[in-house]
Amino acid sequence: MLVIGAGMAGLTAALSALERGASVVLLSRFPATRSPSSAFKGGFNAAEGSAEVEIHVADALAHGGPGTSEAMARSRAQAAGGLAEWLARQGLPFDRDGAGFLRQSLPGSSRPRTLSAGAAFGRQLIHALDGQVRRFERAGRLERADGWHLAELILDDEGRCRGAVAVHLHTLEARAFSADAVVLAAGGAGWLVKPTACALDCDGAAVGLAHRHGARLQDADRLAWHPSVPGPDKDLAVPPLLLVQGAKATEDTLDLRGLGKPAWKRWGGSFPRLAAAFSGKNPAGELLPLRSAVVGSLGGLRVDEDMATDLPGLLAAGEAASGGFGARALPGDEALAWLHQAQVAGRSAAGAKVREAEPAEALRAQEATVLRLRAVHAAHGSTSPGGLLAELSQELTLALGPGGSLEAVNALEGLAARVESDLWVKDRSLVANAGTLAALDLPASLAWARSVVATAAARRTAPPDVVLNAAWTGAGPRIAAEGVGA
Amino acid sequence: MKTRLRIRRQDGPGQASRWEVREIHHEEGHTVLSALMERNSEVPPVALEASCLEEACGSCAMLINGRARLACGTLLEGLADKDGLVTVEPLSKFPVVRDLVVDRGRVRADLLHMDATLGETRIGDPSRVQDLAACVACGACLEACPNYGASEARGVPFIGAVVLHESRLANLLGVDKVDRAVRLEALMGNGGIADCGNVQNCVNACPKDIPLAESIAELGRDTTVHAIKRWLFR
Repeated sequence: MLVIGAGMAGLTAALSALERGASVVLLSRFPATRSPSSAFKGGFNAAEGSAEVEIHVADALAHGGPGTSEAMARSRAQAAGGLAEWLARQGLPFDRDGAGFLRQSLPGSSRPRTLSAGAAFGRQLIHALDGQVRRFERAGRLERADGWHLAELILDDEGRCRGAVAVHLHTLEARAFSADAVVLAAGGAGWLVKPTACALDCDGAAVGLAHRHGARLQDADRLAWHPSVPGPDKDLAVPPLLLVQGAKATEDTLDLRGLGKPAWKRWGGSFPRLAAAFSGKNPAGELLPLRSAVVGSLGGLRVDEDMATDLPGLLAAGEAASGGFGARALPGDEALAWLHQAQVAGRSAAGAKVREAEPAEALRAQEATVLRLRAVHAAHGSTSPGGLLAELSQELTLALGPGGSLEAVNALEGLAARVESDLWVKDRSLVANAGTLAALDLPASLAWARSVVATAAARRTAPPDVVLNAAWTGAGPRIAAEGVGA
Repeated sequence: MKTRLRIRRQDGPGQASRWEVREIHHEEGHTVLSALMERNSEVPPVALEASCLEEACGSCAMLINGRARLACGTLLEGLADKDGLVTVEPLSKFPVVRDLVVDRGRVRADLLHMDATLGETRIGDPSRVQDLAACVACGACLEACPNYGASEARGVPFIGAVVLHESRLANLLGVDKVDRAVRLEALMGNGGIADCGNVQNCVNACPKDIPLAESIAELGRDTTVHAIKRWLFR
């Protein structure tokens, strides 16, 4: 099986499948340690015992509102204890309190239930999971394909996903990866809506690709927002545990003065130093500027309880999949959802009994990608991919703000037309050419963006207790409501 | 504010490099990375790797005024030399792919080869493990090390601080005694711990303040003990 994405979800799905005897190809743009997951701060909710689990579910429903999926909230709340133990066995150094795990209360949680691993939960998670995956790699059970950028899904005549084609980041070589099941764990799209605290790589292109091929997006307009300190290229999300430990946040200021240096280090990590550098303020004596910034995607590919998307053969996990969070995720439930979904996806994919792509199918898909690459380089319009993405980002930002959804719909249609006819990649190099890869991704990014905006528009008149699914037709998105009780 | 960046460009692997000077305008709080990305709509753009933009992932490690730094966290202010220039180059210990992009694959290969892997684990003190498990293999320590990338004395290149440290961590967390012994044997071989000159540049270079010298010292002790045991129980 093929796992696309080596962040916390991809690594977990791979391990889950490997534990069940599958052999896995783990494809990623970059090595696991460089995943945006490494920058994830916070913790993960794990209530102990059935009474606590019920309170956890109630908190999640209250926090997310009527559009929250109770089934998904319960499923992950029930799995959380076992998941925590599994993570501890993988070597994740959870903070401890006496004999057991330290549990803290993040905002929205009426009981202490958030487990943590110091200031850099994501980095600790990736370190442990990557170390475990490397063991399987050494034993020949897993093959790593680092440095590959997803370009196309391989679909057979019946529309079943049988693998993927990727382009190498350094050489621009196109290669087909056939698989009996594909798990898309390529992350979210938070980079495109500003202000953002997300990494550059969170561009949603992989999700957009699946979407264009027929996989519906659920609640695509839902994003996670968090207090952040403005920075030169992106904002710095305030570590949630700093806030729990006594840092004070208003709508536009952050006060770290009440915490001592040990607390800064333990719960803040590199945040105080970077926040000082970016803001020019000294957090030991001054307030830091604060504003709300995007920290992730809450919506994503619509999945069933086995993490299958609408495309047979394609599963999704992590930020790439919808988490059923409703309007807001209960703090601490994000990582829980991504990891739980990844375990389920890995389990399901390991059990898949389908054939891989035929050599002819794979070759066809590979050649189609080579042709697209050539077309991108031959195009001689006037819009650069970077410029177009910047415009896309502006429109999305406006659309998801207080007003302007309808204008964004038209603007994005215009951008889509220009992608078809007016693209120009000035840099024709075949070595490490980020512009070419961005150009390859544009149709997918646009499809995703148009569905996000259409969903946001539909949200204004939709009842509160539904999820909104976006289906991609050739001409654009079609939005339909689905009762959340399902 | 204005600063001039002097960037070492290279079009592809094995090709000749050249210098390019760019004048950039920036505000307070701007970083070397901001400056590099600012005028990257010009052709050809400077190829670089960047992701998290907050010193968490290690992608943007590069030489800034001759020192390995994470560009996303290196402020421009006060960085210019007496000629008003900030010099930016790719890490020198790894093969250049294009401009500032280098191929750090060797680190992953060495981690695999030395079996710096995790199996069944037991965590003693979580805080201590958190400090040790913070490495993202950015390569700054390898850049600073005089022995890494130097000519191969015994035919096998020195694996460097990252791999030594991760091997030590694997032994610290791992429960399996056989695994630990096998790792120590590998580390006692060519390219391993004996090639460390104890210069300790690595500790100073690490952007995550990982106690690398401590790890290497521990390994030194462990391999010595292992050697004695092996000799005693032959």
